[in-house]
Amino acid sequence: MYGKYHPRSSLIFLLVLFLLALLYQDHVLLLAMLIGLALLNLAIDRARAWLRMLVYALPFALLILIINVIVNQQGPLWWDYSFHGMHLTIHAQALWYGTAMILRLLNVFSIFTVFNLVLSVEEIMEVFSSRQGTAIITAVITARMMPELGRRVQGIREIQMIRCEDARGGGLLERCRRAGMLVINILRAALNGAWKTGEAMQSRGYGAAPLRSTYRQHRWRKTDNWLVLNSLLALLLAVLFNWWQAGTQYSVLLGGVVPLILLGIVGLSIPLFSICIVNIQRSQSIDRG
Amino acid sequence: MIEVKDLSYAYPGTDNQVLKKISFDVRPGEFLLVMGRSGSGKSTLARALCRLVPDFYGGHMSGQVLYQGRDLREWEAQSLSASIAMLFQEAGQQIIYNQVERDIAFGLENLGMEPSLMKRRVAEAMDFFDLGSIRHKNPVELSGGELRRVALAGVLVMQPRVLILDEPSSQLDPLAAEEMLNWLKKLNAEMGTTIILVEQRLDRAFPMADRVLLLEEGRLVFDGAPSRQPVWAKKDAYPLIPTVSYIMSDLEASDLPLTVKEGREMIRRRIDQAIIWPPDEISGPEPASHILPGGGEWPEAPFIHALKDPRPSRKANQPLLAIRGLRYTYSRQSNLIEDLSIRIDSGESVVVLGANGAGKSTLLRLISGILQPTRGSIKINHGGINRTERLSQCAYLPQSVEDFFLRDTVMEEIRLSIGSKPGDPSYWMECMGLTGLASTDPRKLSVGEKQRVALACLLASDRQLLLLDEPTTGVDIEWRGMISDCLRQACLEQGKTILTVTHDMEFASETASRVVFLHAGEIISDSPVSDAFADNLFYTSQAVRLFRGFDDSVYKPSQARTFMARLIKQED
Repeated sequence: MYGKYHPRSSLIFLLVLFLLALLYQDHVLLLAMLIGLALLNLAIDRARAWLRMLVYALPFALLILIINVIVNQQGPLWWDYSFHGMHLTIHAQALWYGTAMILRLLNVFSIFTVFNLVLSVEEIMEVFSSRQGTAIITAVITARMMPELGRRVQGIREIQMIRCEDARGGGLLERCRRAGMLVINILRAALNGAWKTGEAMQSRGYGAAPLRSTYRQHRWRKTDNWLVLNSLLALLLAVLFNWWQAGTQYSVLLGGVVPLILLGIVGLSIPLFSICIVNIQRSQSIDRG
Repeated sequence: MIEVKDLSYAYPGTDNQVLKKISFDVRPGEFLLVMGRSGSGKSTLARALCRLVPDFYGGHMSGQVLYQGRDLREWEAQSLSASIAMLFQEAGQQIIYNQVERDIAFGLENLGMEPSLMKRRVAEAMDFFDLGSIRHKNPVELSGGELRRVALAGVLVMQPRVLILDEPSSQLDPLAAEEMLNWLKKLNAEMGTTIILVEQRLDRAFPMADRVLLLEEGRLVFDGAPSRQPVWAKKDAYPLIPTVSYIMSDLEASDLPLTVKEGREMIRRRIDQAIIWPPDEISGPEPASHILPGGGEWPEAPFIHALKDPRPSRKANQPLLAIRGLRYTYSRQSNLIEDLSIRIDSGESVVVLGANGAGKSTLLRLISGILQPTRGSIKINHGGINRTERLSQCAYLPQSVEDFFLRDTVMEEIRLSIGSKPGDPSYWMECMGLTGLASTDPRKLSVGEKQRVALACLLASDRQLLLLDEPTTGVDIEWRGMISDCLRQACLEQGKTILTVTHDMEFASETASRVVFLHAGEIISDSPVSDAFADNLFYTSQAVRLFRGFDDSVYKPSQARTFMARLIKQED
């Protein structure tokens, strides 16, 4: 849940975060954003989902860096090494772009982690309530049925294990036969689950009225106005900064050549995130309490 | 309010009628109990009353179901959904959304209700069922009792005039089941909602009902007041009656009590008139457990003799299962099982009791080898065996029997359990009353029949340790008694060791030699069944409730019935 925020404002906030992750070119800003998102993940679920995401994202990030190093030969030479006739060079620009891409990738993944944690399918449905149709209901039911099917698959595997039909034992042919039986049983379970859900939906009047209405669980509050305003302001500043920074190869913040006033404006975008984050954390703790 | 006229129904692809010429009516505000053996057509009838049969299932239906004088088929779906609601046997099946509050609103959304009115109705339903603290939760995180409440709120928010419930208290612990039925009582008494309750647990439901319908192989064989049902059953030697009536079944038919209160009053009167107290030989030889009211006898399960295996049985008091310091932690949060130690000897039948979520099913899954303990050891047959070995030593019946089946027919299922060893599947089918179902897909059977197929598979296997998770869900009283006999015999004759998790106290009292009480993952008592039941208030049998203060050694229905029979005989 997203504390006291309306799903619509939460969705705007996450969308702005996503755009900022794409707009920011500067390492300092990207890093600051990553730290902010890490804190947000920490506040929501003790960063469990975020750490799981890192396990998959970090090898991918390393691959990006390697490709950059191999392909990008621009900028000053940073490191040069020869080994048995093989010549390996690393240029500063490769490292610079590579690390920026990694930070951006991690930011985008972190935003998706937050998105998964704070917005349920039903809440997204509430946002698009005016356009609610079969597709949205299908998405909601799929979201419910996937974990249910996962549990059924686990149940069937357990029974296979204990009734000596474990798909992992025996020769190749035997394993294939058992795996086939597992798949058939999973399909049966899925069909059975779908049938029961359909029956429950019909008994609860699905399809009875010509038009469905949507339950509005959340109210739009003042805090939602602030969240949307902060998010849009941050986006505006980022766009301005991006325009000003255009053509600069490396971080203007690290280079020390930035006029003080611009640094201040750009810096503003970070506290804006902090405000949002603190607000979310507070509302989370209220919810838990 | 509802009128059923000559209702017959056959599912698609078969000529076999599940309902045969059924006629009855339901008056407004009535509390109707529908009972019958497993597979007698109760659930189909419930579905026919809310038009799921034949609308959703298809098939051939003849006769009429009238609601407020109009044929159900003529009603607009919108009006009908708002008037007649149904709660299914599995509460989880009823839930559509991933959040409690939203799910409660699902039915109202389908009716196209205005958002402000919807908000008010949902808030009211949440307050009535005390769901405020769990409104944001995902239904998968809820306990069985909470899930039932959410499902009930989800249908009642539509303010139906008729509520149909299909075994709502199955799989609930005694406290949650009591709570569930109290909700129904409240709805019926305070809001005038007509309740049609399909139920196997008769003891709690009987006193609440205004009328009882009894189905037998798709026919309506009894329609009358609850007090008349035991009288009718006694005359026709019919086995399905409340436990209190069964215990007192040697009394005159007109005197048969339905509740513990009536039963205790009757015992008190009899004791006052008794010449000798306590009656002679009350703690004498074990009585036959299935003598029917009226002197008839339930057919003795054929397998009881056949189970007298020529193999020498294991020596008693030889430990088969030894668990030490067992701990199981889920998702690094709280311990589901906490420092649990227990020893179970060969040939013992131990029942594990406890509330939903106490860790009972997890314990069975740990022993079977499906789960790996976080800490501690599980030894079967003296050996410090690993998980793979444990998997091959235990036979396990899961709580969700749907997942048990791996083959296409009942015969193939039992054959799979027998494996390469000599054995005849048809013998085990006969034992569990499944003879006519050899080529049927087990998934298409009723819940009670599925349980019997699964139990036949477990007994047919050569595993020494049987782990049973809620084996009597959906099983009628008659088969509950037969299964209980069968399991006892398996312990005595074949030296099998049985660990059962159940909420069925009557079954536990007849089957167990020892009762372990689990609370929040810890064993808080481990005692012989008589002691355990005597001390409990809720987790106890009807026999204990009846005889508490008169004779505290009585704890199982068969024993209590013999006690009463002797008391009555002495008086005569």
